[in-house]
Amino acid sequence: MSLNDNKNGKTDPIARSGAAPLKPAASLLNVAPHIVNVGVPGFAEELASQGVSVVQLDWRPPAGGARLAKILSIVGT
Amino acid sequence: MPDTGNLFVYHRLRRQYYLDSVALMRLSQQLTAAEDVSDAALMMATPANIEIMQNAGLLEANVDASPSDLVMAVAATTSDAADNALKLAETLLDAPSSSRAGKASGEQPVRSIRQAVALSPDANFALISVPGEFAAAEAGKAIRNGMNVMVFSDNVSVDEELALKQEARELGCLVMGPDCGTAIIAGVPLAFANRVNRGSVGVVGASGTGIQEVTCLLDRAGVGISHAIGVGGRDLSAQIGGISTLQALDLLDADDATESLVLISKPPAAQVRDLVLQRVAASKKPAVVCFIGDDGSAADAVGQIQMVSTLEAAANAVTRSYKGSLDASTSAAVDTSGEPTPGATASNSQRRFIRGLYCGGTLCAEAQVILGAHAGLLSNASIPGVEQLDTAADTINRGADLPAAHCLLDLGADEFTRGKPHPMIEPAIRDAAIEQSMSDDTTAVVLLDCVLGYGSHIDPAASIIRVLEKFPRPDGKAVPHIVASVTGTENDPQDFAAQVAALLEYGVQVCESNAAAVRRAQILAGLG
Amino acid sequence: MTSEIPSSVTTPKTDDIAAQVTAANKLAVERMLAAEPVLVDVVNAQEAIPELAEGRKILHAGPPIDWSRMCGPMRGAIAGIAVFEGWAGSLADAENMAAAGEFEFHPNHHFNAVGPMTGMTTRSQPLMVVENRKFGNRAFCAINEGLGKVMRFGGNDESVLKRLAWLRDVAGPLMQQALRGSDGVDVKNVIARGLTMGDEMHQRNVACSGLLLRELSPHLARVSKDADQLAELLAFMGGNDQFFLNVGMATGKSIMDPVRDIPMSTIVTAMSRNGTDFGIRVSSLGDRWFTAAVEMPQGLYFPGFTEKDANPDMGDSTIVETIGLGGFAMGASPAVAGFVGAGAASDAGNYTRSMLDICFSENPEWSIPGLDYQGVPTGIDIRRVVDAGVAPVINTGIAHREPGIGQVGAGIVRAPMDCFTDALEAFALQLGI
Repeated sequence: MSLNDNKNGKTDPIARSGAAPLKPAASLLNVAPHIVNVGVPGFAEELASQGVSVVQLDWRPPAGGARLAKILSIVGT
Repeated sequence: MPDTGNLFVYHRLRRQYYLDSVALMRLSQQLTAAEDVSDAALMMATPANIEIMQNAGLLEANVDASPSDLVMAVAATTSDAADNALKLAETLLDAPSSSRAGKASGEQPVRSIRQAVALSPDANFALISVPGEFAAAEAGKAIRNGMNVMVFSDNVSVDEELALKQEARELGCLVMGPDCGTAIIAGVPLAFANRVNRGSVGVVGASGTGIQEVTCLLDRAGVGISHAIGVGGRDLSAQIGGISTLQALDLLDADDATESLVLISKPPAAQVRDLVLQRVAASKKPAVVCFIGDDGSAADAVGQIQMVSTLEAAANAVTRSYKGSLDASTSAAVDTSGEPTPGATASNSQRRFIRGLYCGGTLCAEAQVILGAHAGLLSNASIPGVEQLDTAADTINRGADLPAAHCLLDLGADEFTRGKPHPMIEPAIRDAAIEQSMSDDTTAVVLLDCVLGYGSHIDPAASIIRVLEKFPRPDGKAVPHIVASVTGTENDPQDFAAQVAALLEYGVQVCESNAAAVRRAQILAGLG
Repeated sequence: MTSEIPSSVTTPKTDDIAAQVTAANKLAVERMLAAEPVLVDVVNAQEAIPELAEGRKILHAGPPIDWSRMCGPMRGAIAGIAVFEGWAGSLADAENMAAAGEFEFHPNHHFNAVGPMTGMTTRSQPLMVVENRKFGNRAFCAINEGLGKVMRFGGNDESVLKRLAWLRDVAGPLMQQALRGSDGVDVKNVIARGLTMGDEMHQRNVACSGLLLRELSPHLARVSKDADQLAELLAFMGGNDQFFLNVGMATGKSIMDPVRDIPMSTIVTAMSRNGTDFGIRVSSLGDRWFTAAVEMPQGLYFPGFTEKDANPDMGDSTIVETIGLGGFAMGASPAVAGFVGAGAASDAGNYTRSMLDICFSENPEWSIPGLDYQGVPTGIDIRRVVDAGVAPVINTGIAHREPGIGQVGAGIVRAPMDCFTDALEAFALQLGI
């Protein structure tokens, strides 16, 4: 590795670490997933039985049904 | 005037800002722990507190503060350290107080993804299986909270899928799905997936049972999986343009644990096909691509890519590249003995037709690829070149006979599962169809799959056997032949060997892959 | 200053509505957190609210309501206050006059005021004044009458009217002189300390009432010319665990009024009930009330009373939940969790945590030691209420359904979800969604 490479910041790990934080997908394959299960509780139970970190959400549909869900998808939460 | 020696003694005020003394003491401790800071205190500026801080050498004599102001004071060995400590104090004061003081116990039900992330800051992956109309909204919240997402739910509109995947791509998140049944991430099987050994084959699949069949066949051949990334059945359509597939290929390409790639999908839209193949070809890692039914003859030069048309061929191609050859005796539990007599049933009866009754949609598609040359093949989930059979569900619900033709049915298709569980979860919903095809004297072979793994029924063979018990032992004469494959591994929650043994005991011919089962059915039906 | 400023209706300029709403809500919560509420004065109502000097105006709790739809305690209070103001010779006369339309009824909220339970505010009552020094606005609330037979629970007999007269003639003027001789009482600070001492500022105000008494006593002593009067007032304040409630309510109103009319904001600026309807207002939706039938509190009853005796939920006091206190701060007050029948003391924190899910942020200055210094949930966001399907939780006193009997219990009630779904529909309509 040459000094020039370092100046370009392309191969210098320290220079890289100063950049934007790791995007979520970039770490997907490197770390064991810590899972939030939204829906079928059986999935969470099977994950927990394998020792996987999982939080089961007590999910319920938005109040007011699909029309309000549509509005929420536009106005955000 | 306190003797400050060589210390730099700085303070700041925050006017009209109240925190109770216990909270402030905790913050003071954090500041004092900083490098080169000799002492620090955050206090409400009451006269008594001012005096205490002055006596501690943290304040000059005169501070213009009222009791409802907060005073932050530090003494440090360098000017920078004192400045930084005060900045830290401001940061800590502005931080949400729960993060400032550690997380709550979280003993109550967690109602939202946001709350889940607040309680478990490590949470990095959302598995979503809520009803389709709400699934995209939940997935959107997950990616906005910095999580990767697997959307198991189906019935998400194309528009929602596209918007979700575009936003995820911008945020640097991966959306697997919607309608993604299977994934294995860093050794963790998600939803419908099998417990396979870890290895270096990275799989991207637009189909759940396709991933399951390939990973199980590889596992049985002694080849392990690094990751299997599902992308959802529509990802390679023209509308979606393979957004997730391309992201997944990028991830596997960059992944040190992955040495070769497998891509599994129904034949994609033409322009997407080119895009994806270019991306695969750009990787230095060897790759096998299975666009089911597409043998690659139409492909442009695709470098190191091996194009295959069945799941079995994909597994074999990978195995050969790892082992040099295929080892035929890897699956002791499966009956490979006794080559069937070709056309054993054809000469003496009207038993001429194969009735394939599938739980796994991609297994049904693979069967169509293999049987496709035979005229008159019908399917409710037809691949190009096979005639569509729209009346299958209606026919079976009425208890009527299937058309006088080879029929390959996907019993997990919408028309069969409306208001019912998927047959992989509850195989009993296939019972009536099996019984009917066995009673139909035009049936030469009943072709079945039996899918094991997480998410699947704990004993799918039992429901097949419940039907078989009503009939004499299958012989191809009084009763049709029964041919099946079992998709699973020895380490799955179901007992793979026991499932195979139970089927064999009732006269089912169990083959080592779905493709092998189809070939055997072909021979038994005299189509060899 | 009037609260009747027409809301500015704007349409979004870009497609990114969600980001605009979030930015607007951030501004709303910043205003809430920047507030500097100070108890500065006690003034006669018609001085505080000049409109009260004309006609026979009666301000009441909750969203607007006609006499014909008012519940028993509300009617009882109106009859009593009409006699108190000298508009009617008897309670019966007062009821006839009310039915004949001889009184004007308006919500307190339309005049920068709030009132607990029935929330009677009329021209000659003394009102406490909380000034939000950050934004310069003022909010008003009557002096808490104490427990037992009181007008806020619909009480209207001789003893009730006599106490109102004493508040008008003795307590009010003394407090006025005391406050005018001080720098005012920094209420934000009192509440912060109260939270660490087990108050949630709706059903438990013991600590804050004590802290307030401690702040006011020297000033009261300095201005009093009659030791007996002073002793009577100190005993009245010291003997009323809920004395601070009305100060907290005026504080809530003073914090929320500057949050009104922020375009695109979905933050709730008021929650209130009149014993018949529950109503909410939302920052970007102007003066409109979104109402639904008020619910019955679930709670515990004093000896001799049951839920059959209970009146549906009532009062402007839900302004304290609107700023993150009351049910939202249940975790600060395990004692209240028991009092209102919310389950085990150790469950109290779950109410607070669940409210975090429907709020935009939390308040770092109002933190709860028992929840690892969790800040109280702040800025109810109708989007999140609807999305989570979780309605705001309110700690409330339960009034007897007959006027004049008073409080019969305490409990928990939820804001009706329809208020929030209707408001969100209206918000979407305003944006052309």
